[in-house]
Amino acid sequence: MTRMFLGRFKFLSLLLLLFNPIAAFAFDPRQVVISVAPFAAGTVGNEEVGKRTSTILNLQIWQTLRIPTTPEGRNTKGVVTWDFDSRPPTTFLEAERYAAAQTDQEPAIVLWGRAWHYGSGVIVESFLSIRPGDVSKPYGSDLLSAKLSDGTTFSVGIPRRQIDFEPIILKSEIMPELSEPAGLKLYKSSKGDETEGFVGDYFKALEQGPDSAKVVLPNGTQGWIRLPSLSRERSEVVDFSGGIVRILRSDWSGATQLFQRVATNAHAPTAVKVDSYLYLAIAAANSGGDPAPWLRKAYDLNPYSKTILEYLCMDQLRQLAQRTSDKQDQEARIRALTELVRQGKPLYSANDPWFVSLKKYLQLAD
Amino acid sequence: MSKSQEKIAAFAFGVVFVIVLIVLAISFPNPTPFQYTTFRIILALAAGGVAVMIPGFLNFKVATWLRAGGALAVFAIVYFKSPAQLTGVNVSDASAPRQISIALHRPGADAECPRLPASAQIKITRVQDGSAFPPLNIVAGCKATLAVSASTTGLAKLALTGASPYELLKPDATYQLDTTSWEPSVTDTPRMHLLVTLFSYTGQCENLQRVFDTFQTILRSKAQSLRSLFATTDHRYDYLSSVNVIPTGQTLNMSPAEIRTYWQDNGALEILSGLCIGRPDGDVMRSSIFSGPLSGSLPEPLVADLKISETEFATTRDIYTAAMLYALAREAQSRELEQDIVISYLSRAHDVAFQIKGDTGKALVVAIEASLTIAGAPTNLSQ
Repeated sequence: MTRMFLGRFKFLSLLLLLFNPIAAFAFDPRQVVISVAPFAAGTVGNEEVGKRTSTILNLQIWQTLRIPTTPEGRNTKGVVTWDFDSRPPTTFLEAERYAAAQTDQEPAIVLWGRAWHYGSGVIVESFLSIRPGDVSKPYGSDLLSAKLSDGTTFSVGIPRRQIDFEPIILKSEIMPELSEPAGLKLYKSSKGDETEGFVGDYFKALEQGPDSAKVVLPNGTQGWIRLPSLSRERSEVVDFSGGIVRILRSDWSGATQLFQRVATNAHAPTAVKVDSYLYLAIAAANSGGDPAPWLRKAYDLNPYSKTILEYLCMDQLRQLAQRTSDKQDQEARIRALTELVRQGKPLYSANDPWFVSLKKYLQLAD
Repeated sequence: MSKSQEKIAAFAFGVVFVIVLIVLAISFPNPTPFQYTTFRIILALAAGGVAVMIPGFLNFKVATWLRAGGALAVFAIVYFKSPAQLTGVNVSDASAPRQISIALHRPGADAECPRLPASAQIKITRVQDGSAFPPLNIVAGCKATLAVSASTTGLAKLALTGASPYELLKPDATYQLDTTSWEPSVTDTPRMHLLVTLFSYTGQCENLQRVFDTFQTILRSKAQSLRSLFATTDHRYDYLSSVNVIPTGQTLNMSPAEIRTYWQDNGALEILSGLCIGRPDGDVMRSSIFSGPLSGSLPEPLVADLKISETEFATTRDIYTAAMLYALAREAQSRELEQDIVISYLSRAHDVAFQIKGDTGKALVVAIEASLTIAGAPTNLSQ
């Protein structure tokens, strides 16, 4: 925590802390930290553009954070950090190294990328790394679970941990005066012009509005920051990243809002849309809804994905685990599951541990 | 034997061997040091034999240690004065050492040193007689020096030992022994086609070099991130880390047949070349993607006109990505990798190609779907 107050020269952090007091900044497994790394310059001379892009995305993701409505989500907090002193990562491996070096608030998620001059404009490529952490039980690997009558448990989690988005065309009118979040003006009210200086390296949100946010500084000063153009120019990169944070905080309704925006965004790549449908299925299943329509949409987009096959099987397994249906219905589900595993055989390896377990449960021979 | 008979025998011996030596001189214009010494001795003996029949008296003296007369003097003159030198051929340095510098490198214009293991050695054999030079140790990860005599000629073949996972890219290639440097290419993915060979783009566009550099960086970025598209825990995909973009630093100037041979010889996944065309509504880069036998049902080359505009950047990137994944699927198929690996590449390629507008996108989708059918991908899972 101390290092956060050392100022922008060391490690800068922008925080939304809506449940715990500022003093509780020590590592907490119930804290979802996303770090926006400095964006690399795809071509020489783009360094400032890379930095500005990073700032914009950082604040936009920060705007998506909120208090989860679920009981389990209320005990969590979401944190967005930035670090302009580190070397910009240019590969997923470098992003992992960047994240591991963030010792104060080691992020579970890293958004990184690069900015290019191309044609007559600037475009931004963004990548998201969702770190597995503990290898034996990767972070977010059991977002959907089913415990069957014989005690066997199946689960599925984060569909993909390394995501690349479609390039964004950077519009010059977005916050031209701002090079980093610490430079935001602190207003005394949400509408007036009177200011109280700048927010500095560390601030937390008390209330998020569409174009402004009420924040509190470490010395207790409260005020408003204004981000009008940011909320109108939100890309699927921000919605997807914010959605992941909400999923990991068990904010199912909040995640649904953001992933629906991604799934209906014509600009989003197919693979990102498929992931969004899978997250929508997770949110639906965990909030008592039916995940099947979302899975169907994912399958329609890509009928050749092993991950979607796993989710389809998982849906059947969850219904089997509910044990509310009669025996005939259970047998029908087993048959359907068996058929799925048989038909989908070309999509998975004979040694795939998840399908090996499932075949063992179904007593299927290779 | 009478004295005259001895003279005749010596003369006959001399004539025969002079003739033999003329034949040898024509057959071996560049003798090795050993051959040259042997020829010199026999020539000296033959000359001495011929001198037996020549009248007159001849005395020959070398410093203070040799004094000879008659036939023996002729022998001494021929042996010690090296008449072959008089022809201008520098045979007196035949046994002097000469060095051939060997620099192993990865393919491409970058000539990156591959950092071979310390146990690596190069074995060199002459093509002509199969004789071997002493094995050479590799220093600084990729360098070695072969010492030969100045007159050494002919061809040699190389072999790498103790260098795993590296192997010579062209193990059957031969190298001239009368040069001073060899630059053999090595690869850590032998018999795989994982290199995207990028020939320089040509044309008249204003920012050609910048556009080319951007294309190169896009390709490199894609190549480097291919491994991350597939489960990190599944090590069957680890070889994707070796996919690399190799700029040749030259423009492509080959016939289709030559391109195929180049593709085969250089472990290429794809060969790319391009032409920038200036148009009133903006420059267009015409990219040609050659995948050799991996092109399947795609046209060879796959030609894409890509407008150099920020709004077209995504399409440009997607075409390269989809084409690379498709080629990887075909490459995996050619090496008989598991069915699910092939399908996973095609599935990813399908994801990307699906959103490419225009004829190139359609051609890619059709080719990918045909390959998915061939690979046995399920067409309709019952749900």
